[in-house]
Amino acid sequence: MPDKLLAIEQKRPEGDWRDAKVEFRKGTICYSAAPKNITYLSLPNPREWQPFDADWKLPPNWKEIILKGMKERLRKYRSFRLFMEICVRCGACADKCHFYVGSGDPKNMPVLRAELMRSVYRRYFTLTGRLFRALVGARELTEDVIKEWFYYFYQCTECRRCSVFCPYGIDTAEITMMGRELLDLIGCNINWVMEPAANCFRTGNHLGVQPHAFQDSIQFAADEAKEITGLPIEVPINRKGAEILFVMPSADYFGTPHYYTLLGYLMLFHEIGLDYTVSAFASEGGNFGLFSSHELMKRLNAKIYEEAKRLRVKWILGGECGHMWRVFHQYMDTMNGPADFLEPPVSPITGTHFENARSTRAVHICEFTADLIHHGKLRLDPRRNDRWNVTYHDSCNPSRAMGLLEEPRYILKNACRNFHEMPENTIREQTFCCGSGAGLGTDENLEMRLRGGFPRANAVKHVREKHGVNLLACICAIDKATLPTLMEYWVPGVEVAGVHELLGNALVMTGEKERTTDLRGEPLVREEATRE
Amino acid sequence: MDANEAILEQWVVRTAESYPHHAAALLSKERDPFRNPVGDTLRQSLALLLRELFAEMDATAIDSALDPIIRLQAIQGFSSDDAVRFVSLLKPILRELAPERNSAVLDRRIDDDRINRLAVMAADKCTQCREQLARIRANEVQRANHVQQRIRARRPA
Repeated sequence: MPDKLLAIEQKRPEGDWRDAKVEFRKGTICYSAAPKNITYLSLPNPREWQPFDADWKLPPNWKEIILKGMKERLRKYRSFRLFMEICVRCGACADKCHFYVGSGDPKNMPVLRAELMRSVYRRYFTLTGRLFRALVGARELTEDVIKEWFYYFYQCTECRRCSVFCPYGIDTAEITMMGRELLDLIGCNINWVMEPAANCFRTGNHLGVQPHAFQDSIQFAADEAKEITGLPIEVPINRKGAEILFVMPSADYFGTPHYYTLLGYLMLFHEIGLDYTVSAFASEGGNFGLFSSHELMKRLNAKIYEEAKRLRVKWILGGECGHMWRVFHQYMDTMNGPADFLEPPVSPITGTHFENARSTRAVHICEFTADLIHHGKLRLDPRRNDRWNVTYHDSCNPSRAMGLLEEPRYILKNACRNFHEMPENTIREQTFCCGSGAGLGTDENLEMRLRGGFPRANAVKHVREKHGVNLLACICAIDKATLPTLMEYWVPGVEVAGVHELLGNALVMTGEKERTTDLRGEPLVREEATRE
Repeated sequence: MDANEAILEQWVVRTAESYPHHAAALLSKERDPFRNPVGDTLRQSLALLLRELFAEMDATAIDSALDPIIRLQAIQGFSSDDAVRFVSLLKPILRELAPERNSAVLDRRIDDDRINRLAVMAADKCTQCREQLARIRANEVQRANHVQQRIRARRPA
């Protein structure tokens, strides 16, 4: 090889983090929100534009809008004000972000992603920043900074792994949330968030499924559950006076592998004779408003309590979903509560009082089912899941936002005979995100998702090679939509399932016909052997 | 550290330097495979490739060794050229390290011809990964509409 070629500098230039220019490349960004969705939600500045356009068609007074929005939020949220002030740049969070670990882009270090906003905060809201500017790390707010915010705040899945390691308790996800709220004010948002949000506002669910189609899908699932078990499984819809309102993510009645989880729920409810109803209005537990602004989150969430009130139920049971539970557990009560028209949840089967849900009056299905198993109310034959060698992915929101760590594992260990944990620093509170949460799970963003999901996939690969794991169980609808893609690329041979799919396989139902297939229609490999 | 280890170490460090400045140190130094999965993948792949370059250049073994590193770089924003550049980084390393420490390295035929063959195989692997991206994108869309497809399939037209 000629010496000249060998002399080419292979190292990337160091660059200056304050340089706000970013390259928008297809495959690594989400497309902008379509104007019809912005208009539907009555949000500002609907227009045709894309992130790779030179002109983003911002309103003429965009700078004033952003600074005013920042000022309002600094006054309103003490946490935001604190997070802008207290970081000492210790670097504990630096290598904890899956996007940084998977891409190597330093602006994905949580400390630096937050610094993109702190630098503007310093310039406009602190005396030292106003006086000494760049000397104290302050930056002017320019259009390039807005573009940089858009690029990096839509590269954060708000998974909060970094916050686990911050000695000051800074929740970088909340900084991303503030960044997205500010961007919303000038109409810089993504379609994968705004279209589901607009659909949800119109029909009650992200997919825009209307009541008759909702009924169709639910009835189809009930018919399939009947075929598998030979039992007359019915699903009440909009039934007033039921004891429990069951809310699930819409993907459960639309996509796969979610759908098999739905079959599992229906079989469980039939077996225990639960007095429940689903709703064609509260037909979505997920809430893409969380990825946009607190106002939108509140608007979309309102239907849950409204419908519980209209149907006169006693309490709410929620299905397997990730961010739905962040909203239910951390925001719903203060946003749309108090739910004083509901009763503190008590299991009608075991009599257990769910004290942790006394305020929200919403119980997670895994808590409910684990309690049933613990009290010996379910007959399970784990041999029906013998074709699976299972590991469990702690979905970010149920694990870090609500501490739901043991219940799903307890169900899995009772429903399956082969279970192996991934390495300790990749599960439980330290779980790695799927890389597609917070509205980033769209196909145009596939390369970026595969980067962000690589640390998770790498841990799955480890247990696949060590223990022959072939199934990744999880309790989040976004996980179920995007982990199969992640596995297909990084760890072929590993499938994805919900916890209640495996429970449905193992559940020995009173009067059922001999099962010949599992919920996926695959032949059962082992003969039944019931264990009380 | 023997000559082979020194070559591997340099190869890892220089491959890591093709990533942004701050990441390069993490990629080449942190040895926990779960804190630093990219760095671990680079190291494992390069070690296996080096072993094959010293040995018989078994096509199957090289394919398995290339897969993880190319699979990564295919989705990390590298152009096709950049994604296979790590192969050519080996040439100057060999020239720097082999004659001084162990001239037998070159005698054992880790020559430009072998490295060029490896680069061609890497380019081929990169194309395969990119083609797979298109397929998995289509599969994802299909999964998202699974229930409606099944309902339609069961009902008479």
